[in-house]
This record gives sequence, structure tokens and C-alpha cells, in this order.
Amino acid sequence: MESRAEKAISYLVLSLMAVVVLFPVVWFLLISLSPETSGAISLSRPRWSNFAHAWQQAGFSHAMLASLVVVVASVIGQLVLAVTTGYGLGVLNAAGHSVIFPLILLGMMVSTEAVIVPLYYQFRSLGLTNSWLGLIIIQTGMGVPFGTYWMRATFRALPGQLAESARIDGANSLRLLWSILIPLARPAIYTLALLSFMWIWNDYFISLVFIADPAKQTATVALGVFQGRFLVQVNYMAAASLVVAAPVLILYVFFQRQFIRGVLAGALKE
Amino acid sequence: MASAGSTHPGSEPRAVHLSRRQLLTGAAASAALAAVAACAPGGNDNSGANAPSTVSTDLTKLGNVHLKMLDFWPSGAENDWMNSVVKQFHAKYPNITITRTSQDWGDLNSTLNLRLADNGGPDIATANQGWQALGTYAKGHLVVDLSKYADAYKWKGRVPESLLRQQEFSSDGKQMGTGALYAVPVASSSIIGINYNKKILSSLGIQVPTTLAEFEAACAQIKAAGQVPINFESLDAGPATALLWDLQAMYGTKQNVAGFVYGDSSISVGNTGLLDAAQKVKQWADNGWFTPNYAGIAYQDSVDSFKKGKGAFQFNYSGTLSPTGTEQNDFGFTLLKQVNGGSTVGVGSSRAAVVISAKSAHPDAAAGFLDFLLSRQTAQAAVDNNLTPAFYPDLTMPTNRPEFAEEVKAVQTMDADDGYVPYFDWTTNTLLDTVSRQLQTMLAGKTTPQNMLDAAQADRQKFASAG
Amino acid sequence: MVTEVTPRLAAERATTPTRRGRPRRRVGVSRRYRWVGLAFVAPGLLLYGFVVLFSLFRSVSYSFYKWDGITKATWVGVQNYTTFFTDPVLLGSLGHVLVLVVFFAVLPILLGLMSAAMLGRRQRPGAGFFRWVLFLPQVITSVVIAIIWKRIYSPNGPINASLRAAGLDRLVHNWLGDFNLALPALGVIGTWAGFGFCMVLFTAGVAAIPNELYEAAEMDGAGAFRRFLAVTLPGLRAQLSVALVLTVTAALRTFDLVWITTHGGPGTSTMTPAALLYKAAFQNPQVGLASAIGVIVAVLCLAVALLITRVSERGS
Repeated sequence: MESRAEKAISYLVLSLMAVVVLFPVVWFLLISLSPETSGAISLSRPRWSNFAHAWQQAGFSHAMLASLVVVVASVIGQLVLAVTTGYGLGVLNAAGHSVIFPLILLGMMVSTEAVIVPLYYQFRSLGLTNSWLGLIIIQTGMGVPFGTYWMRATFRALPGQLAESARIDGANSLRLLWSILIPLARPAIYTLALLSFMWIWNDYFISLVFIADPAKQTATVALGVFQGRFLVQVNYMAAASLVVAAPVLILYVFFQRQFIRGVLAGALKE
Repeated sequence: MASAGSTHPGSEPRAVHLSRRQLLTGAAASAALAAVAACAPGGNDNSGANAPSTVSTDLTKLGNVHLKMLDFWPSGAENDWMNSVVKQFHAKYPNITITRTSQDWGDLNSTLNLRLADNGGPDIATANQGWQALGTYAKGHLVVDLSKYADAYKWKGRVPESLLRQQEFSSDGKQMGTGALYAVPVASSSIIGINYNKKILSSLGIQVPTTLAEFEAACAQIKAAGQVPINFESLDAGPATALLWDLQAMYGTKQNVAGFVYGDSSISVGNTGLLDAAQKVKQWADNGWFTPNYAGIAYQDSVDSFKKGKGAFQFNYSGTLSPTGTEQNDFGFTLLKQVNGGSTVGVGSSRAAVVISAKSAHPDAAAGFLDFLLSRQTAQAAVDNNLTPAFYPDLTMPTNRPEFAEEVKAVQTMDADDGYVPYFDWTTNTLLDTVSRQLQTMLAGKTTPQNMLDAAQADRQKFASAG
Repeated sequence: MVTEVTPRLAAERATTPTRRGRPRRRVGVSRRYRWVGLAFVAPGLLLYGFVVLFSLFRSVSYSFYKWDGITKATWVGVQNYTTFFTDPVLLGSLGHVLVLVVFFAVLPILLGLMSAAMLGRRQRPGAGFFRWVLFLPQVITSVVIAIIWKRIYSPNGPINASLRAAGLDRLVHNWLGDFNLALPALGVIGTWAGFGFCMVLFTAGVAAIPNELYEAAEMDGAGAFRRFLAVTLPGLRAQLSVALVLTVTAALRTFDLVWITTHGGPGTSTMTPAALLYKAAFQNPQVGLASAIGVIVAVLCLAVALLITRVSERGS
């Protein structure tokens, strides 16, 4: 058994770590309330209107809508493709599996920077630059490797009797997926959705390259409004950053248990 | 939690394992496919077809036109100024509407070549001069050759030659500073000069210096009094070069710096005053004349601290400080005379070079707006927003903004003398990078001014030999 | 970049190790569904092939050209690659990656192990809170993280201010402006952002280790530390290999962090391959060189993954 001293030390160290991790974030929150553009912290007179000002200056009404449309559509796209390819590879042992799967895995090793230039020229010739659709296609396509990897593993971890009993029932492959496997894999799918949402929402580079129209800019790109050549308004930048980070943070609070459980579920049942 | 786990036994990817074999197969399969996709990256086919055959300057007859503009003035005075200019233009020509998109300077410069090649891209855009930006666009025929508009609108007589030249490129795309005009400047200039803190100077009984010798004497005195002589930063290496370029303009001649920048191979970097400038910077650093810990200070923080009274001098771009309210009484702006000879030469340019995309369907309307950007109204709007104007010596000046008035005076001196020296870093597409890194390295004592000179020369040679 | 890459890959491999230890029939249907399976795979494969693979291959072919992104490209053979391996700045960026590996991989894994051990195998009261907090940096946009830390490291930022307050003026530095300290300073950001994720990964792994092993060790009279060495650490071999692959490749691909804080400076002391790639692709258009850097980074990532999985497979 664990001694009281061990326990106390554990809590002490963990608390220390928590403080170190939280400090920069809390400090940034204080900056966002600063009345000074230099970001000097002034606890006595917090200025909440910084958020409204930042929202307005960065055109967040448009930008948030843009991010929301792109992210929601891309997450749905990613999930659909992850489930179908994961099912095809993991359960149905699709023809060519031994070549296709490694080929898809390769995508996880490829950085965005390595493909963005040719991608831009391809999409331009298709008239898909400067459009949400183009962005959605890119994000969906780039999500395939991880999604496939994730769902294939999820399906493979399901006990074999399930599929067998389903086959005895005469379920066809689509029904097997839809009414048996997907409900069982729901926690893993939630986790995937959360992760996808986070990655796409936080993306800056792809949106920056592909979207020029201010009415179509995503929230992270709109953050750039505050980075003028000669002027960085630190308090507004902080406020705007927190506004942009908020949806993911809220989702994280909301889905955290789900997310951690997704990772731990199988392990804990022993 | 545990029970949730047992009711969903397979909800977790436990059988995941990325094996070596899988990785190898993936790599092999992709290598095989690579052969299929291999082919040469293309250039644009519209080579040479970027000069309009006929031009019209009668904007009222163009019908309803909508223009998209992409600029790097996303905030502050520059944003207000451009909004006001766009509004005035629309009031004058109600049939032409302009919508602006603004991006951070760095972001825009990194992607403008892609934007200009885009069918849905902007009609009008702000570009940085020099080979890193405008030169590449001109060479790639991404922007309209404006020579015919220049004749039609008589830009040559209205804009100082040294300013217009910054936007000219030869038809083979190999030379800058000559040939066809690919962009126009705007009626607001930005020059490098010295901001000074009046309180510090007057408290020590120091006159505003007009020569480098006076400046150094002042710095020594300020240092002795326990104050910071020069507010400086070098964490953001790009802006830090302002000091270097200004000193270079004091040591080099206008002809030689311009010659080097515009690719005159008879002028080596040794003739441009860079070595003297670099040595001076190093000497000042060794004297302890810069802000303590300058190597860790970011540009914006440096400007901010200067405004709050730290440091007697700061080398800066005009319009950067923009002191507000009573701060206007606390600061001034000055240029130093050249070391040999008494003339005043400054490093400066238009606030932007403005181009028309070769893809634009409305070059006539766009050129009309470019002409408006050179107009008195645009210059006046700049003044009204605390930005230094260009070209027009007789604008309505505010009486209550003494710091701004000194900036304006400095710019007008340069306008009158045609004293603009181009930015040294326009020479090649990598020179700003090369020199700014050398500057950081030299200040850290890891290299010498001579090394910086050699690196700059090598940079240009590499660029020239690459054609 | 670091904040993004780490969870992406790590999450999915969280419980890797149990596979070998527990043979059982997995879900699967007979061979006659193989072509139906291919039909399910096709949409994803095609889109992925179009967006990622095709672009990647184009990148490879670009890497043999000299191209400014606008005018016509010229074939230069392997010149872009020889440039990479002869240019001191480009080569130096690989050396910087080695330093970053210590901060992006070694430290987060050590801290992750430590915090996972302290959270314990059973759900300690408050464990959820600590997990939530320590994982937090993972969900914040890397751009924002970089902006925050740039201010934290500023000469009058909170670090130097606390050092001065504690009378440790000798330790006050220009963190990001110092040739020797800038790179480790960036590394610390990676450690800060990454160790919470390693912790979640290891917590999952620790929980998957059969109780009997701990009981046996306890009966042998092993203390907490011995149990950690004898049972926990071997039981986490697969998670460790996963964490290593992810964090090392993340170090190799570091971009946002460097770009926003130092632009690779002072001098080139914090330049990474990805930052050089970005410069070559978008700042001084040398698209061929940029593509070559991208290819080299991809190959190195693959090599790292191969090496680590190989060592891990041999060990088990």
C-alpha cells in the first residue's frame, strides 16, 4: 500500500506541475484584460471590452462562421471516410489491404509544408482556391490517414464473435457496419471527432494559403489582423486568441471525460 | 467508468501497431507511384501578354465595376487612412466599388505570388519593392505593365524619379530600376530617421544633432548621465536593420547604394558604406549605448518602451512612433547629414508599391485607383491620419502635432532633393535575411563587420549567377 | 506544430501493447467480402491519394527543379539535395533538431512517466483534474502558445522578473535572444506543451498492466520504486516506442513555434528544417529547394519511425 508520505509527495508534485502548466494560460488571460496595448497587467482595472473590441476588429462574426462551416463539414467528412476505410481495411480485409494500408499510413508522416505548394497549384487549376469547399476537401483528405488508422484499429479490437453472430443473422456488410459496429465503436468515434475538430479549428497555415477573401477567412487567420507590420496590440491579440481558442477549450471541458475514457476504456476493464 | 468499459469491450483501438514492414511497404508503394506523377512544374503561359494594348482614363464610362484590393495595412493609422482613401475614391466615381482585404505584412508577402496567379485573386495589391517580391511578380508576368498608364496619367512628372524607379524592371526580368513600370508608389512615404526624446535631450542640455559626430557626442553624454542613449532591439532581426541602413546612407553615396541595389556589377558592396555602418553599430553596442538586453527585446516592445521614455534616440521608420495627444510634444524626428558632405540623404520609399494583377478584368478602373493613390487627396488623408505624405509640399498641416510636423519636414526635404536611397535589402530575394542574421551574429560577438560585408557580396553574386 | 502532432498520433496507439499478450479472434469476415471492402476503402483512398499522395509526388518531382514558383522551371537534377547537405545553415538545422529531441521527446517522456506514476494505477481523487490541466496545452492553437511564451521569455517577462525578485540576477538572460539559450528555451515550450500528453498515454498503459504482476512484485517485497522499474516500465515498452516516434518526428517538423518566436534567430541558432522549408517555399521563392527539404524531412521521419519500431519489436 501507498504510504501517506508517498501520497503527499505525489499530490505536491502534481500540483506543482499543474501550476507550471496553468501559469502561462492564466497570465495570458490577465493580459487580455489589460487596458494597455503593450499588455501590461493591471488587475485593478480589468477591461472586458477588449474581447468585444477584438471580436469587432478581427471581423470574428464572419471568421467564426467560416471556421464553423469548414470545421463541421470537414469533421463529418473525416468521420465518414475514417469509418468506411477503417471498416474496409479492418473488417472486410479489402483487396490490396497489405499495400493500401501502409500507403495510407505514410500520410501521417507527411508534413503539410511538404505538400502545400503543389496542392495550391492543383486546386487553383480546379478553381478551388479561395473557397470553403476547397478547404473542406483538403482537410477531409488530410484526415484520412489518421482516421483510417484509428477506426481500423477500433474495429479490429472488436471481438470476432460479434461479426460472426451478425453474419449468422444474415446482416449485409453495410448493416453490419451501421447497426452493430458503429454503435459499439461510438466512444472511439467521439474521440476522433473531438481530435479532428481541434486540429482543423486550430489550423492556421492551410487556411492562410488557400483563403484570401476576408469574408471567407477562418478565425485563426483573422487573428493575423492584429499582427500589423509595425503594431502588435498585445492585449487585443490575447483577447482575440482566447476567443479563437474558446470553442476547442469548451469542447475539451465538455468532452474531456469522453475523450480520456475513449483512451482508457479498454484498458480499465481488466 | 469501469463498467462503461466492460459494456463496450471493443470501443478502444487496442490492436494498433505500426510495424516496420508496413512502413517499408508504404514507402515502396509510394516510390513506385512517384514515377507516375513525375513531371515538370509549369510556369505561366501568359508571358509578355501583361501589357494592355489600349488604356482608358475616363473612369465614368466604365460602367459599374467592382475591384478587390489586397493590402498589408490591417490596423491602426494605415488602415484608417486607406479606408478613407477608398471612400473618397468611391465618392468621386460612384460606379467603382473597392473592397479591401488586409493581411499582416509577412503573411501577405509570403503568399502574394500565389494570389496574383489566382483567377479569383485581387485586382489591386500592395507589394514590397525589390527582388524578394515585386521583381519576381514582374518577371513572372503576374502584374500589369503600367507604362501606358504612366504616359496617360503623366505619372513621370508627378512622382520623383528616384521613387518611380524603385518599381521598374527590364522586360527580360533581369534588371531592376530600369525598364517598364510595374507598380506605382502611393502619396505617403516611409523613411528611416531618428526619433528623439525631447525631455531627455533638454534635461541634459543637448541640441538635436544634425551630424553623426554630434549624435555620438550626445550619446556619450547621455550614457555618462546614466540614461540609455539608443533604444534598440535585435530579437526581431528584420526591423533591427533600420539602424544599419540609415548609417549606411550616411556613409555610402546615393549613387553607389542605388547602383548596387539595381544590379550595377561595377559597384561592389565595399563601395556602399555597409562596412562603416556595421562597424559603427558594433562600436555603439560595445560602448553600451543600446538598451540593456536588447538581444531579447521584440520590436513592438522596443517602440513601446521608447514611447514610455526609455532611451534618448531610436532609429525608426517614419510613422511608427505615432505619438498621440500630448506625447506629440515629447518627441521629435530628425535625419542626420552624410558623413562626407553636408547633404541629407535618407533610406526610404513609398509606403507600398501598388500593382494590378495580370488576371484583373478591370485594369482601367484599377489604374484609375492607382492614379488616385498618387493624388493630393490621398496625401492629405495620410496627413489627417498621422502618416507622412509624399509629393505635395503644400498640404494642410496640423498645428498641434510637432513630432509629426518634423517627420513631414524630413520627408519633404527628401522629396525636394530627390534624396531617396532604395532599401539595400531589395538587391536580392535573400539579402534581408542574410544581413539581418549577420547583424545578430555580429552583435553577439560571433562574427566581424567584414564577415557581414562578405556575406552580402556573396549573396548578390549567387543571385546574379542564378539569373 | 508540436502541440498538434503529438496527440494526433499518440492517441490512437494508446494501448498498443496488449495486442501481443492477448491473442484472440478479432472481428473479421471471410475472403469473399474483399472486393466489397475495397469499395468501402475507395472513397477515402481516392481523396487521400488526390490531396496528399499526388501532391507529395509532385513535391518529389519539384525537388529536381529550380523554380521560383512563377516562371518556367529548369531541371537541375539532385542539386537541391546537394545544396542541403553542403549548406552549413541547412545542415545545422538538423543539429538543432537533435537538441530539440531532448526537450520534445526525452523530457516529456520522463515527466509523463513521473506524473503517470504519481497519478497511480487506480483513480486517485483529483486525478481527473490533473489530467485535465496537464493535457490543456494540447488543445491550444500552437500560434497562441508561441505568442504567450514569447512574452514569457521577454527580458522583463515573468521569468526574469521572478529571478530578480528572488535575488538571482545572475540567472537573468535574454532567453530568446541568446545564441546559446534560445534553442533550449524553445525546447522548454515543447516540453511544457507535450508532457501532459505523454502522461495520458502512459496512464492508459499503466492501467493495462495486469494486477497480478504488481501483486507478485509486492509479495517479493518490492517497494514503489522497484515496482515501477520491474513492472511498470517494461509494461510500457510499446507506449514508450509510440511516444518516441511521435515526439521525435514532431521535433523534426517544428515550425510554428520557431517561426513566431525567433524566426530561426538569433543568427540561425534556432533554425529548423521546416522553417527553412517555409522560407524557401514562400519567402524567397525557391520551390525546388523547399520541396527537397520536405522530402528529406519526410524520409528522416520515416527512418526514425522504422528505427524505433525495430528496436521496440526486437525488445519484445
